[in-house]
Amino acid sequence: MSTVINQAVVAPAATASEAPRPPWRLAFTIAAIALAFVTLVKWYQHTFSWTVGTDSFSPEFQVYWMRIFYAQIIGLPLLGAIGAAWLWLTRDRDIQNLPARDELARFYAMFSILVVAAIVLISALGLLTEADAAWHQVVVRDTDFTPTHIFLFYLGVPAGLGGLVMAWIWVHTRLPYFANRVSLPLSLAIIGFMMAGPVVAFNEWAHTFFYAEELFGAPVHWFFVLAGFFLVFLIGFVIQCVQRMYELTRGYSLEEVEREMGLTSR
Amino acid sequence: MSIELGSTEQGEISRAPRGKALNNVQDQVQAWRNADLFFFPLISILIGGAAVFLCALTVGDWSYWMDWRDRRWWPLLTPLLLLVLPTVATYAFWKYFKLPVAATGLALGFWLSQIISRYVNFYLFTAFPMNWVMPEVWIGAAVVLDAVLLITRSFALTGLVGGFLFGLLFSAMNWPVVAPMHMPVQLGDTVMTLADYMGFQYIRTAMPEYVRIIEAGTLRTFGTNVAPVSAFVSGFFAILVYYVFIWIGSKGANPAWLKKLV
Repeated sequence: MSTVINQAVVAPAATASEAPRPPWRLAFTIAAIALAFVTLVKWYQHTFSWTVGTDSFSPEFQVYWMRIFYAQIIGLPLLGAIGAAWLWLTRDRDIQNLPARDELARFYAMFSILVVAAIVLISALGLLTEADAAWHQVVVRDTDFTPTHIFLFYLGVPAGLGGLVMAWIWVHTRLPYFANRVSLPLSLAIIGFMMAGPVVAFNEWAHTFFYAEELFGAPVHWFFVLAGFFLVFLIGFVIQCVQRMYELTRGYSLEEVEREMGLTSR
Repeated sequence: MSIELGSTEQGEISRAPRGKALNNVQDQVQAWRNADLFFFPLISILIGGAAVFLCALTVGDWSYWMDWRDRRWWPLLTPLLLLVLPTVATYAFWKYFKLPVAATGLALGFWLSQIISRYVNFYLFTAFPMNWVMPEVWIGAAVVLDAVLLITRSFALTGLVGGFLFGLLFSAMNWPVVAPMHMPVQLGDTVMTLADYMGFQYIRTAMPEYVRIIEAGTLRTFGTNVAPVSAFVSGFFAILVYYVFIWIGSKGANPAWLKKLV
């Protein structure tokens, strides 16, 4: 199974004679699935927040919201652990001998999926964050587990963390350039995201003091900024990938490339 | 736990590519075009999204509500926080790709994400009018920042001139959206701005005056001088913000390696 998935996802267009191409169709399919899921989440939030989400002591709240909370908080870490274990156990033991063509195809697969899926993921992050801001301006909370928190914190954080840990394992076990050493910027980006866990806990604790008014720029929220700021280390990871992709694709001189592109030689 | 820093060249094993990835110069040109398709959107989207998150949690209140957009704090704080992540991304784009486009790209991604969020969350979800929750626009200020980098080709001069203009121009560039909300209206015996009046129509948990951080104290008597004074102060602080976060950007974009994690 792993061979099939690796070939389908990782080296879609690379044959012995053909140069690799980015798997755009696969990337857009993944993005469409992600967009459908985000749409479903927002539909649920818009539909059931006002009808059964304003009183956490009501039996309906327990059915419509707390069941989702428990499913997410148990299911997502479990899925992440299974995915991470699968990625680790199916790793390529002879990764250093991966042909350059396949290595470039893997970079293409990673970046084409990332660039399309990132549009959905970041839209979701913005939508879930500002939904929280809007909701707590109009409904005074009587619980930490409000309809917006259940999706922002207990869906977004475990799903994001599981995805990042799996990405870290995939990068270090499927790309020869990253094998047998550790990318510091990618690791720091993940460590920063891990800080979201204690920050959520502190935030929920602090909101037991401040439940009636909502100042979104309050100091109690600033620790989230620190955790989110670590995403800038992804730039360092991208630079590492660029360095390797340049090594893989620099067979011809700049003059030849400029001639091919129809540019005048410098 | 031990962490050892290593350079790109220090691996014990050979990392030379195994064979050729491409067949001819056409493949190479296509590969480099693919890289263009990947990296600019990816960094713009990811860091632009992080900017939405960062600004929501620091100056979100001024961004959400028109009655928070005063002449004193909003023109000062918002551009300083908006400048942070474009500056970090600018370092990588200019240092490695010589592309003075990072701030503009982030501003576009930020605006798109904001406008979708305001419509979905504030209009559809919680029923606020759109003109009451319009996000701030800073695409013009970002273009100025990138243009100064393009002309000067220097981080030092861009911070001094571009950073200053970014802080200075922010509130002026947003004035067409905000000005109608600052029109005076009379309600009973009380004169207030249209923004304040709308605020009373839409009760929020951020409404009490001990929560709302807007202009207070004697500066209210300064008439029309407050906004330009705030803009100039923001411009000067923005120079400092630019320099600090260019340095942080150099750390974030550093392609460093660990030889082992534990």
